[in-house]
Amino acid sequence: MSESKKKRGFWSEMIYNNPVFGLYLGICSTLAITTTLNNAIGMGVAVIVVLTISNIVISLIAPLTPDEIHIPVYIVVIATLVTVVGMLMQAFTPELYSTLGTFIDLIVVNCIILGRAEAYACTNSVSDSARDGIMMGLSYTFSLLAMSLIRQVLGTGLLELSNPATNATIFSLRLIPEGFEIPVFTTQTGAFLTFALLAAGVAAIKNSDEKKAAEAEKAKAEAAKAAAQATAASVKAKEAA
Amino acid sequence: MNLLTLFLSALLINNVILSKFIGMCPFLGVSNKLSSAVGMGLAVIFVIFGASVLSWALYYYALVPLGLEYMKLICFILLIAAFVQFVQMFIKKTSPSLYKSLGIYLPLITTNCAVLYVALDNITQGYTFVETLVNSIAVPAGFMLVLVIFATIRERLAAADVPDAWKGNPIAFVVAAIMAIAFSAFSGLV
Amino acid sequence: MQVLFAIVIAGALLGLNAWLYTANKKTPVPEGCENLKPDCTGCGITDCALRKKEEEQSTL
Repeated sequence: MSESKKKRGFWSEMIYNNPVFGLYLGICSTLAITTTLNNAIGMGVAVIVVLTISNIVISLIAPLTPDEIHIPVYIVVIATLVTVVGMLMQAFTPELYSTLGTFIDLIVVNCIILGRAEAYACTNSVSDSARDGIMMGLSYTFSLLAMSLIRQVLGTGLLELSNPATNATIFSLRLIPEGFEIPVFTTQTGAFLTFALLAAGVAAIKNSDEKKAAEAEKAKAEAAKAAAQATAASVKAKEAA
Repeated sequence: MNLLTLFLSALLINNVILSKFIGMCPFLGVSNKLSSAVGMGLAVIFVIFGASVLSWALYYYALVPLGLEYMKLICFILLIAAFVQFVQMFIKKTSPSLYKSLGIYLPLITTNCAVLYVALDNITQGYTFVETLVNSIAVPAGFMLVLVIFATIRERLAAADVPDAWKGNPIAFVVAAIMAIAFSAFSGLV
Repeated sequence: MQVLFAIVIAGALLGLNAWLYTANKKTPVPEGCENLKPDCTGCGITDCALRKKEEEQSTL
């Protein structure tokens, strides 16, 4: 147990503490919007901005808020940020805003943001909370990108990215020939299946690591026992001699 | 708009979980046993109906006359949180049996996507008061329907031989995928 | 002027929340129901505040 809690590298941290596939937070928006890469990046950036700024603000005001009212106050902070981000998106990236629809407003009840505020931001310093916000936001965006990559490539055959502000295509590659793509991945069923596959993948990685750690500990325990027996035998032999 | 069409479309065709992906969190968390699924479903129907009607009234009688439409999100979420507290207090005082069956699920509904979604959707679609009433009953009824079906399947699934990596939530998502196919057959209904 | 109305409405709702929360805390749970917990294994998913308690218990 102590072995597996060591400091892990960046990528393995993203897999182990993945908020979407490991902890199942914020699933509603993940399933609904990951049809294209554009949507994923747009939503990811919105969540990073809201999460970081709300972490900073909440770590500043947490010492001042009385306990009865702390959840509604945090909710007001997050809701204000989401309203502002929504208005900015409506002004500068109108097509992205209309595709994402209510899911921008539903960032308020995304458990990642309120959960990190309650678990981390209210008891840590401003710089730590900001860094935690950025890391969790990047982790979430990474999961969104993974899902939308699979869904877009298998469902439409194209790997496409366009500038949300000007609607100009940045690149558009056809990876699967026309007529051979699998349209189910753009529907609800495909969303559920892709999510199930990725979640099972993350669980498999976690399970195999836990098994390795358990076997290593068992081997160590047995080696220690054997060493103890050997020293006991050598002490007895010395006494007999 | 025809109220029956609205009711059926919110209940079956645009089912809130299988078609719109809202309310997935309690869908995974509470669906392990049928009794808890029924309790959660009833609590959600009650809260969504009350909170949506109150939010509609707040929007059209307070926010719009004052020109404060942009405050919609903040006001709705605070109203929902207050309403859930009120309902919990009311149930505690009036009925222990009701508290046992659905009162304990109430604190879990405050940050539920579904409540905020229905409140916002009623405004975005521009429904009249009667349409709001119908929509606010049909959507959580669809939620409860899917939750109960899913709980019965999951109870049987617990006894099946599922591979280790798929145990728990991944296999639940595969079941949801199959249910989504089944429910998509309703799209020709109206 | 509009901003004043906005602050008043938000403040009123916050006050309503605080009052109802304290009133809810003071109302006793009906007898026989004190130790009831919602029977759900993944409830930390649904409620962010409950999730913190679950995580604390699992790391103890």
